Formats: sequence, structure tokens, C-alpha cells
Amino acid sequence: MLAAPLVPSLRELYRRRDATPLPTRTDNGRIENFAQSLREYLAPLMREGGSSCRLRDGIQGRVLRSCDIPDLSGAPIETPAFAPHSLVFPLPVCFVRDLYIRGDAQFANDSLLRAVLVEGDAVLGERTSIARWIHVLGNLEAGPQAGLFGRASAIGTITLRHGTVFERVRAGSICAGTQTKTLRETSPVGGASSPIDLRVGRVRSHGDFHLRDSDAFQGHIVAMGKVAIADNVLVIGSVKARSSLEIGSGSHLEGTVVSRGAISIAQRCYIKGPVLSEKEIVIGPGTQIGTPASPTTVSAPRVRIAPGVVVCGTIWARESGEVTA
Amino acid sequence: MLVDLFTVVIVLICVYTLRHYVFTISRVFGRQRQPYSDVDCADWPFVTILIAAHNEEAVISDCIRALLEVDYPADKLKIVPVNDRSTDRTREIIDDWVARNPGRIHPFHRTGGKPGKAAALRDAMRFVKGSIFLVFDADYIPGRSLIRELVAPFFDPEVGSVMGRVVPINVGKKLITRLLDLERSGGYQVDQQARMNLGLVPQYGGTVGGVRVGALDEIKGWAENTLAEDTDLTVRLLLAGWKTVYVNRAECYEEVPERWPVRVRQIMRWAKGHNQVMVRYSAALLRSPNLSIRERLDGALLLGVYAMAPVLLLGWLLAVTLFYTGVEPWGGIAVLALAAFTTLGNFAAFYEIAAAARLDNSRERICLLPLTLLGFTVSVVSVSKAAWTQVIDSIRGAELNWQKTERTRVAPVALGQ
Repeated sequence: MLAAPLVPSLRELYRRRDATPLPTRTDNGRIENFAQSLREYLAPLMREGGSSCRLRDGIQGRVLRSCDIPDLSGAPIETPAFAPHSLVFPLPVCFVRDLYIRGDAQFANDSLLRAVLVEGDAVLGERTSIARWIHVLGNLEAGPQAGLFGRASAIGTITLRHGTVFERVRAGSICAGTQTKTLRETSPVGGASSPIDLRVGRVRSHGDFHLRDSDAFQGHIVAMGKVAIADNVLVIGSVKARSSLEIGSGSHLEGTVVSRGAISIAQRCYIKGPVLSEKEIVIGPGTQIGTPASPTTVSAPRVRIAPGVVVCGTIWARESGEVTA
Repeated sequence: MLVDLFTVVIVLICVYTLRHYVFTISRVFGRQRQPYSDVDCADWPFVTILIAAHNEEAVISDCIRALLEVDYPADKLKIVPVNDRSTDRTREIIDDWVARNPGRIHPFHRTGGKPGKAAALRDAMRFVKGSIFLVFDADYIPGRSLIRELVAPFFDPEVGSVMGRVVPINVGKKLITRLLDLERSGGYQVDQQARMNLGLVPQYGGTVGGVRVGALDEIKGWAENTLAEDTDLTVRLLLAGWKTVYVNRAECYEEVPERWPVRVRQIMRWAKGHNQVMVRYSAALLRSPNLSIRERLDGALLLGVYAMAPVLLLGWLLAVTLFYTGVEPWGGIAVLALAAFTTLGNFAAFYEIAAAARLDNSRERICLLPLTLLGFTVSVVSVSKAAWTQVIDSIRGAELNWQKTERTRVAPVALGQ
């Protein structure tokens, strides 16, 4: 009886049913991987050229042409689909399976899409939702109140209108609302290419840390409490706060912004990035994070960006992201 | 007198038991802190990778090959195999890789100097270019995205060193490799991540990790006179106000010992090195104004982990003695029996291993849990022996010697298995 607890152990030792190394990550984590997998999955549809064909998992795939469009609104489309040229959907559509459009795409308001690959530009109508991912080789424009759940990426620009909710977004530049000011192409201060390579000193504060209006500060800042940076401040270095972190309007940070608490960035700031919070990031209008030449990451459980914000790189809102005034 | 001593032992063991419970609960039910894992897009810095190698002909090719295939920008990566006085074919193999990949690998063939990894790394620092360097032992096989995952935390100006997760690759070979696989899971998946979650003191493990050059300069570089340069570095960085960060997603394969004598030598070296650091820095750690109270306590408990093995043996001895002498230490024997169950092993207790197996989605290997008692008993005895010989050696004034872990790999490993 005493040996009974050892029976499962000895059986596993003998049979070795779970004796392989634990799997480690082998992919590079890029959003584009989904797009490449879809291309490979739909390859038979592209080769055969007919109106449909069976895919490798036995599911029937469908080729979409402009003449099919009037029949598509209404019932959900439950087959994977490939369109060899640009398509405009004037009425709401619901694609339950993946869709690949080799050209531009324009979706009507209130459409529902699972996963989409567009090789040209894409426009999503108001309240259109992406359930899993969308990858666009050109520019992507998401209409007001759109929902980008999962991942959205574009080689060019992604424009997010007011009320759009998002999770992970990646593009050359991500613009909230209509971009009104000219994008900075490179960092105005220059210097080291990576914020990590900035060779400046480090200041540790055991409490809160403040910089006053129009101060200029060179060095990394690490504060055990809050960090408050007033308006029009220049910081050549990175900033870390164990508590909340506030950056006033017109300030310029040539480094990273990291906080265990919330980060609030006022209007017309420039941050080289990354910007990382363990709670929430709120970004005011006219602020730019990263540049096309030096893209970066904005990441927090909750991200709220105002119209007029530009982020070059990735915004990752792990719980929720929203464009809101 | 014996009862008082026994009480002290019980209190110490209960403290560690509580610590293990807190870690497991945090890992399974708490908020998981992985604040840097989302950084996929940034201006990446120039990075130097040091591969510590001493007689590594069996394994070094796999490591170099994997590093050449990572997705980090090649123009921002310098690979430096640190061939430390090897007497086998390590030099020849490295030079062959250099010839086949011109400009990418910059070997450092160390032919003399003090033995030991810390001394070799200290000498290799002149080959480091850029603000960050990563260290891999030669038996490690990094995945494609590992370098980015290890570098990302350095965007935080408070981070001085980073540690990734070690995953055994030769799991299915023998009972010992399967037991070490479970132990590693508990130690990293639960123990290290819980310390990260709770804002405590994750440990830099000397490999699958990186260090900020500026932070290392600030603490005057590697300490040569230590057997655990990793723990030494963790503590000195902490005292200087730099944090160590653990990245659970940054996984890397390693080869674990396949023979018990090799394992015994390995854990004895770890124990001696760890104890060295405990003696040197415990007091400074507990007094440090740079640290929060919880960091001080966790740091001290971390340094005391290997000292608990002889304490546990002492507890068992006292329990038996008190029992047979008729002294009833207020039910302490029962407490010891329960608490001992949770403090055995190297960092990971039984339920930490169980939680790790659950988190790793391993369904069958958890059946081996009762057998870990064997591995833990070997560890307790080995670590206690190490502590005893360390005390004797320090009285005699003998110097501690570095002993390399023997490799057993005979064929190249296919990546992504």
C-alpha cells in the first residue's frame, strides 16, 4: 500500500509519455506571420483559378469577384475566400473565415470580419469589427467606432478614427484621427540611435521627482515615487517611475518612459520611446512617439490616445485601447 | 538548549515554507508581471554575446549555430566565444565557425590566467562592444527571438541585469534528467516569476542573461574570487540600486547533468558560491537604504537558500534526539515533518513543481513528482556536505576551486524540437 503512490511515477518512467523537452518559442512574434500562413493556406485557390476548390484541411475555399458582391450581404460567409483583385463592399458583410484580397478593399459600415489580408489599401467602415487580425500591405483606415480586436498591422499608415477600439496595432505610423501636423522624420536632438546607448548619468530619487517648466535635464531618472515633468521640458535620457508619471505639454524626451503606475502624456510632446506602463497610458493630442526612422513600442494594459496622436511602431493595449478625446 | 536550537530550526524552516507558499499562490493566482515582453519594435542597441566555453567540443557548435540564426539585427550583434584554456577541440571548432562566418564571430582564446568563469568573463570584457552584453554557457541553445526578449528590459533605466528561463533539452535521457527538468520548471516558472510578480529579487543566473555595461562598471566589474559570479553580481547590483529582471518568455535550452556525480559536483559548487555571497553581503543587504523592506528580506532569504540544507539535516537530527530522550518539543517534530517537505530541494518545493508543470501544460511528467524526493535528498546531503567542507576549508585557509560541469551531448541538436 505504501508503494501505491509510486505506481504512476514508475509507469511514466517506463512509458516515457511526456519525456520530450518543453517546447520553446521558435517564431519571431511578428504579426506578418499570420498573413504568410494565410497565403500558404489559400495557395490552391490562387493556383486553380476557378470559383472554388478544396483546401488542405478539406474545407471548400471560394474565389470572390466583383460580380459576387451583391450576393454577399446578409448571411455570414462561412468559407475562406480569396479575391484576385480590388473589392468594394457597399453593404455590410460578415466573413466567418479568413479573407485574402490581392488589391484594395473597402468595407461598408457594420461589417464583421474574422481575419483579413489586403495587399493594397484597406478602408473599414464605421463600427466594422476585426475579430482576429488584419494585415495590410498599404494603408489601413478604420472608421469611427471600429473595433480592431486582436492584431492590426500595415506596412504604411494606420489611421484610427474617433471611438475606435484596438488591442495590438503595428504600422510605419499610427495616426489617431486626422493627422494635422507634419510628422517628425527623425529625432530633433539626434545623438545615440538607441535610448539604451545614451551615455549619460543616472539620478535615483528615493521619493518623487519633479522637473519645472522649460527645464533641460541630461541623464536617466529613476524615482521610487512619482515623476512629474512640467511643460516644455527637455530630457536627454530615460525616465522610470515606480508610481505614476506625468509629462506636461510640449515636452521632449530623448529616451524611454517606464512606469509601474499610470503614464499621462499631455499634448504636443515628443518621446523617442518605448513608453511602457504596467497600468495605463493616456496620450494627449499632437504628441508623437517614435519616428519613421526609429519606430518604437507603446505598451500598457489600457491605452487611451487622443485624436492627433502619432505613434511610429507598435501600440499594444493588452486589455483595451481606445481613440478618445 | 536542544529544544531552543530546535525551535530556531523550526522557525527558519517555517519562514521558507511560507515563502514557497506565497510564491506559488502568486504565480498561480496573482497578477503576472511581464512588463517588457511587448517591446517588439524599438531602436535596438548594439549587443555583445559572450559564450563561456571550457572544453566544450561536444556542445559549442550548437550554441554558435543558434546564435547566428537569431532574428536580432546582424549589424548590431557581436558574438564572442570565450575559449577558456580548453584542451580539447573547442578552439579548432570555434576557428572553423569564424572562417565560415567572416566578421560575425570574434573569438577570445584565453590561454592563461586564473581558472573559473568569473575570471574568464572579466578578461573577456575588453571584447565587449556596446552598452549591453549577454552571456550564454556553451551548452545553451537560444531560440530565434531570445536576444530581443533579453535586451528589451534594458530600455528600463533601472534594470542592470536580465535573466531568461532555462529549459533542459536532454530531458528524456535518464531519471536524473527528468527530475532536474521538473526542478528547473519549478525554479524558473514559479519561483523566479513569482519574485518578479511581487517586486522582490529575481536572480541573475549567469547564463541566458545579460548585463548593462554601465552597471557592471559602477560595481567595479566581475568578482574573480567567487564560485557563483551570478549571485554575486545580482547582489552587488542590487546594493548599487540596479534591478535584475526575469523574463519567463525568454526560454533557452540547456543540457542538464546526466550522471549523479556530475550533478553532485554542480550543486556543491553552486552551494559554496552562494554561501560565499551570503557571508559577504547579507548584512549589507539587510541594512541597504536603496532597497525596500521586502527586497531586503527576500534578498537575505535568497542568499540563505543553500544554508537551509544543513539546517534541515540538523532539524532531523534534533528531532530524533529529542524524541528518544523523551523531550516533547511542543509538537515541533510534526511541524518539522510538514515544513521539511516544503523546503527540500534547490529553490523549488514540491508544490512549486506541481504548479509549474500545470502552467507548462505538462500532463504526464507531473507523475514523477514523488520521485523528486530522491533528487532533493541528494541535493540536501550534497549541499550540507558542501557547507561543511566550506567551513573546514575557511578554517584551513584553503582556496575554493572551480569545477566545470561535464557535458554528454554526442550529436548536434535540431532546433525547435
